Amino acid sequence: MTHSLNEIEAMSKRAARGAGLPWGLAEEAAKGTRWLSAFSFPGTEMLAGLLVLNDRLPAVDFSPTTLADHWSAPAGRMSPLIAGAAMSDCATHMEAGQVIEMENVSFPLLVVPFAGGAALRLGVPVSVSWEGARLTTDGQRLCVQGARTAILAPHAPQLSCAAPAEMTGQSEPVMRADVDPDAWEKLAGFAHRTYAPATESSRLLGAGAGLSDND
Amino acid sequence: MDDLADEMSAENTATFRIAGAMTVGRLREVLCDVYGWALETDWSLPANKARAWYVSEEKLEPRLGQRFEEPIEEYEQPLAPGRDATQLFAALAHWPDKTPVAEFLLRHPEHRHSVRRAQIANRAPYAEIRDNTISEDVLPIDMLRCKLAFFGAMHFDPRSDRWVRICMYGNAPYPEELSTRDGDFWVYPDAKES
Repeated sequence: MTHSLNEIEAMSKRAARGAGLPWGLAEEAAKGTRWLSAFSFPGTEMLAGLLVLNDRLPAVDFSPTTLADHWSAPAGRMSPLIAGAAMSDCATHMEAGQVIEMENVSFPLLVVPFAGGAALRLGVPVSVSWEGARLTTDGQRLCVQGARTAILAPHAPQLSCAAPAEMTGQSEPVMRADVDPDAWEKLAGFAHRTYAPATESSRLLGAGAGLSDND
Repeated sequence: MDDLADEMSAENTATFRIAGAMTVGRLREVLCDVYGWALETDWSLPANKARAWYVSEEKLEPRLGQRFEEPIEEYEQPLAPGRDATQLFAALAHWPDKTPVAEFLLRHPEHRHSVRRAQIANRAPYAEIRDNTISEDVLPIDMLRCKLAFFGAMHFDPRSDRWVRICMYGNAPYPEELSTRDGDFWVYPDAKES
């Protein structure tokens, strides 16, 4: 089944929020999933996998302890959304030639969209590499090197982000994406947690028309 | 007027990314500039936060509810930018001016959406609603009209202060008329077609 990128973004944002992420990180999760989907990667499957793994656990446990040297998380596995967002926030470090090294990153492909954001900010391509995979982007296009199993790995012991990187053989984004029905159902389950159950009082007090929009 | 349509959408890919190198001191200045009205609002008063925006299971669209009378607060959407910016401002109070925002956000991901919003409004002044969206006396009808007008809605018919009935494509040509009528004027039936 295919979905528009807008649908994927909206579902991902609600799902990430439903799994306990703060709104700002849910926004990042949504943009990232959309971005991966536009390059025909199973972004929704990766996000669903991550949300199941860290469901309602404190974000700080999977965050880098510091933004200096090697990044590692106290819980022993790093969230690619939190680490990716921090990498994008620190994009100017890479401008100065620093390679950002991370340890034990869950679903490393989810870091790559943040490289896109960093590349747009720096104006040069940024590469993200882990065992058997290297993805480079200038924010608009993506250059993919490595076997699919390595690219879709659920865990990377080491991951590095660097700029400027060289782009070779690029793919262009598409407007709709194939979505795995199981992943979509998982995301919908998380998203459902963000919906307030209707009550008689909310029907009377809430905004919008009641169940019937007719007079 | 025709060229205005080209300016009605904004490509936000680049501005969505947070500028983490911005200092805490600069962020404070931006917050004072963009959210000055909010920083002067007493958010402890129930009247200033009496409403909450949430998505109902029943209709799957944003609704405005009564924070203190309905069990909706845990489902609240991030649609109170003034209150959230004030919380961010308070959380920054003891941070040194020179610290990069990236360091603050690593410890406080709960303020990430507010930092983003402040940085966007700093570049695009019309990106933000500069009033209290959860006040006891908020009337979202004007925001609704503005947004619906962008969609091409006409004949605004408020059914209450919470929702408005509209007409889409009124006077629009039928397919067989498309080649003979001027597509620019059907929304203004009184205007003379050239």
